[in-house]
Amino acid sequence: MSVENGHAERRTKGSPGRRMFLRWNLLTLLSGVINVSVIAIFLSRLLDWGPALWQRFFVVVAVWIVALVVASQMFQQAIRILVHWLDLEAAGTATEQDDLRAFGASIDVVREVLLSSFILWPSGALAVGLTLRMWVPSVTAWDVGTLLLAGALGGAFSSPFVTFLFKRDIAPIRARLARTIADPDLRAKAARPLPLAWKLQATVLITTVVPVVAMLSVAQRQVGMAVAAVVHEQQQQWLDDRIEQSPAALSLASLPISATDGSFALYDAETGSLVGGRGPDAEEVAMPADIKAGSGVGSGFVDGRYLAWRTSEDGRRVLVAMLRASALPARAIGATPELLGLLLLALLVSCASAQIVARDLSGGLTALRAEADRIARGALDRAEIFESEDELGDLGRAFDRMRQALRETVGRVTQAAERVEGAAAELGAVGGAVAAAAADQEQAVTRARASTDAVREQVAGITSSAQELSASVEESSSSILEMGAAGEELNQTASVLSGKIDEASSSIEQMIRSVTEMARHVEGLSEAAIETQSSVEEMAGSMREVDGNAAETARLSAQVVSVAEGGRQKVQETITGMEAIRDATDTVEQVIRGLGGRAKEIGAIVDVIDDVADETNLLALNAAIIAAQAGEQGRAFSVVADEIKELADRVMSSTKEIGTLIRAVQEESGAAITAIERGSESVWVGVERSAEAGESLEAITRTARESGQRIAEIVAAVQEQSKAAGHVQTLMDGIRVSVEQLRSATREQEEGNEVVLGGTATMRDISQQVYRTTEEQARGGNQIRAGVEVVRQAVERIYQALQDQTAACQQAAAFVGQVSEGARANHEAAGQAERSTGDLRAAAETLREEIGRFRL
Amino acid sequence: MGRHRILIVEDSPTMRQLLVFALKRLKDIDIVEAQDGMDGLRKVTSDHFDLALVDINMPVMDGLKLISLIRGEESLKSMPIVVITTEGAKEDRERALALGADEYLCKPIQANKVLQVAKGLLKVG
Repeated sequence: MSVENGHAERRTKGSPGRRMFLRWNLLTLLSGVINVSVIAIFLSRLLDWGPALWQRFFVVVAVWIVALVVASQMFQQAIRILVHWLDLEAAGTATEQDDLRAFGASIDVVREVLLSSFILWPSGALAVGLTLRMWVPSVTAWDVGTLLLAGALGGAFSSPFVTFLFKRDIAPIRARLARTIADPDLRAKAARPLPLAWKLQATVLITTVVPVVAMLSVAQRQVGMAVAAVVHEQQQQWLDDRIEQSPAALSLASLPISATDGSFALYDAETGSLVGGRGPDAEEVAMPADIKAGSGVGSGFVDGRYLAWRTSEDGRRVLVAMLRASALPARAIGATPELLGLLLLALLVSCASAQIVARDLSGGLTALRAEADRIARGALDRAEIFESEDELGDLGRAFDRMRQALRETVGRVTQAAERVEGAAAELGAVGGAVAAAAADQEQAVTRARASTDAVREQVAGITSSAQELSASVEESSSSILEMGAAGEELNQTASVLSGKIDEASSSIEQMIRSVTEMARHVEGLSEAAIETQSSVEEMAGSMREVDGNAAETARLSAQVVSVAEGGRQKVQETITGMEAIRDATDTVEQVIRGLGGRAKEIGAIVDVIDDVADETNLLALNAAIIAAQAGEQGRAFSVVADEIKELADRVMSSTKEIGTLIRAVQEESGAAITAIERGSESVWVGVERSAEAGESLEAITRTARESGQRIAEIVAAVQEQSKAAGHVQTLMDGIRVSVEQLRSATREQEEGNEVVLGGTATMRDISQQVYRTTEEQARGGNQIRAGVEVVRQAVERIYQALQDQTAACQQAAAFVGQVSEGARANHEAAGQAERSTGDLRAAAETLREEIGRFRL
Repeated sequence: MGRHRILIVEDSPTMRQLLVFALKRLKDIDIVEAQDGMDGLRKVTSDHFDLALVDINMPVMDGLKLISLIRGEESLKSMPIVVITTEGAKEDRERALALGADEYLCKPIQANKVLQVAKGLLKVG
């Protein structure tokens, strides 16, 4: 199931790693091909699939092979390590660490191959089955189970061959590595053993369970197929009979059905819907998919029922007969060629795998026996080292360790034998000298004995007088000791007292220190309290200031409001005034316009008068002419006419003046109107400006009111704050008073402490004086005691020396006796030793010959 | 042709006075004043007006809100509205026109301009 990958391609052609990698892939590929064929044959016998389904099956297999090849890379760690090591070894760059890793991998390979065979094949088969079931709905769970079984069979069949064939390939590499790594303990550490039990269990599983299960399933299938064949044949027969009886139209009503026939269903061939049915199962079975494909006659096994169908002659209806599988009697089926073939195959595989395992084991055992023989013959040098992934491998390493240990032991024995031989020779030489010296010694000893006895008698006399002296010194020493003890006791008591006083005074000092410390703290506290109070006062002061400022600001803003308000009212009054002005000018304008109109009217009247005067003038002229014609009678009239003409002329000149005046009036009134209009315009602009000012004043009023409100809030907050500050001040006063009280109390305590301290110091001085006095006393006593002790020791030493001398004399005498005995014995022993040395030398010679037999 | 009724909605009394001053030049008119948006709404819904002058920045309810409410009322949809804005407040002006105001006047107010706009909207000589 493996293919070449990138590793192989990068390797130089013909390198040992590449050769091994190719070989391994070829082996797995070969076994994979054989396996797939076996599985396919197995499946073709078990599964009742059409060609379309088989085609899909092979498509799915092709897809999954790619996935499984990728998955199989997980199981190739050890192979990769080995391939890499082979390349390193060829290049001569393999380190000790590489060797160890490669050795571990060479042991692991067997496990890896076994595991991959047992895991990849069944899981691949299961994956193929499930994918196919998802793709093709007609694939049943039974089919998937059959595929899984086939995969497991394939894995089981292939695993022993691949494993042990590959193991044979690995064996020389493993042996090479074992020779390189001499220490069997290191090898044992690097190797992850595969228990022998696993190998045997796997083999037993393959040789027994797998063929049995495979044969059972084939047998089961064949029984089922045989029964199905019989049933289908019968059903077809029935259908033919029924249709022949009523050939015209295929309908259920025309079917003569007995109770044991099972069920019948009639489907529409095009839509697949059920037209009608008879019997218990007719309603439950859907029209089989194969019928839709258009085959006129057919049979199948669907949902635990055997079906047979026929299409009517016009091709519109399908009649289906169905019978439950459970309704059929079980029938024994004879052996068929498939079953026999499979049995034969299983037997072959069983025998082969058993043979392979047996060869594997016996090979290991033979190698180990050869090694044991070699060691028995005394060949302790290194030879071919047996290695295996199982307990035999452990045994092989144990042999190696034993061989190495034996080799070391024999080496040491050889050296020891050589040393013994040398020592024996030396001993022989010394033995002769000893014998001669022993004889001389014997004579000298006898002489020494006599003089020793004389010395012993003299010493006994001196000893008795020294004994008396010692007794008297002992007596005086004991009374001095008593006195010394009394002084010592007194001194100890004084020392204890002094110690107690020291303790007391140190605790008093401690207390005083604490009080002083406390006083310091109280002082600090007092300062802090005063500081706090002053800052609180300061704060209160600044608050008062803020309060004052705020009040002033509030007052000012109120003033601003009232001034602005006043201004605004003035503006409104101005506008109102302007309005009055406008109204007034409007009136004036109207009056002037009225006047202008009147002047025109007057002008018209004047024109009329002018016309009348003109006419009158003309008439007067006529009258004068007529009066002149009348003569004298007309003279008076002529005067009248002249007067009339004069009057008319005066009227005419007056009207001219009036006209001039009226024009002047009209001009004046026009100018007045223009002036008034200009004034009116100014009024408008004045109103606009006033309105602007008024609006600004309104804004000022609003802002000033708002700021007045804010200031009022600030004033309230500050007042609240300064109330709190007053409270704090009161509290601080209380604290200050308490601190003052505390300080004075501490001061008083300090004064009391001074007194106590003075008393303690005096007490300590006195106790120390007492202690010193007693100490001097004790020292005097000790000096006396020491003096006496010196005397006593001196006497003791003299006495001891005398006693030693006596004992020495006695001992010397005894020794002399013993030595004389010894000298005699020595003399004899020297002779004996000389003989033994000869024997030893002979034994050492034999030992060396024996050791010479071991090959180290 | 009857008398024309004009509503002035403006919070500043001075400004109201100015507008009244300007509009008094028209003949046959009745002028009603309102001092904020809410007051204006109350008056405009309880009586008939031929023209309304509305300031934008007012307390209680601003002019934009008032215009949108007036334009939401079916019977008031055709009433001409002149909006009074501060000079430079272009956004307010555009929003007011978008909400349905017919004309606008910028502060500082020119009385002549008021008169001219009112004449145009009331269609009088």
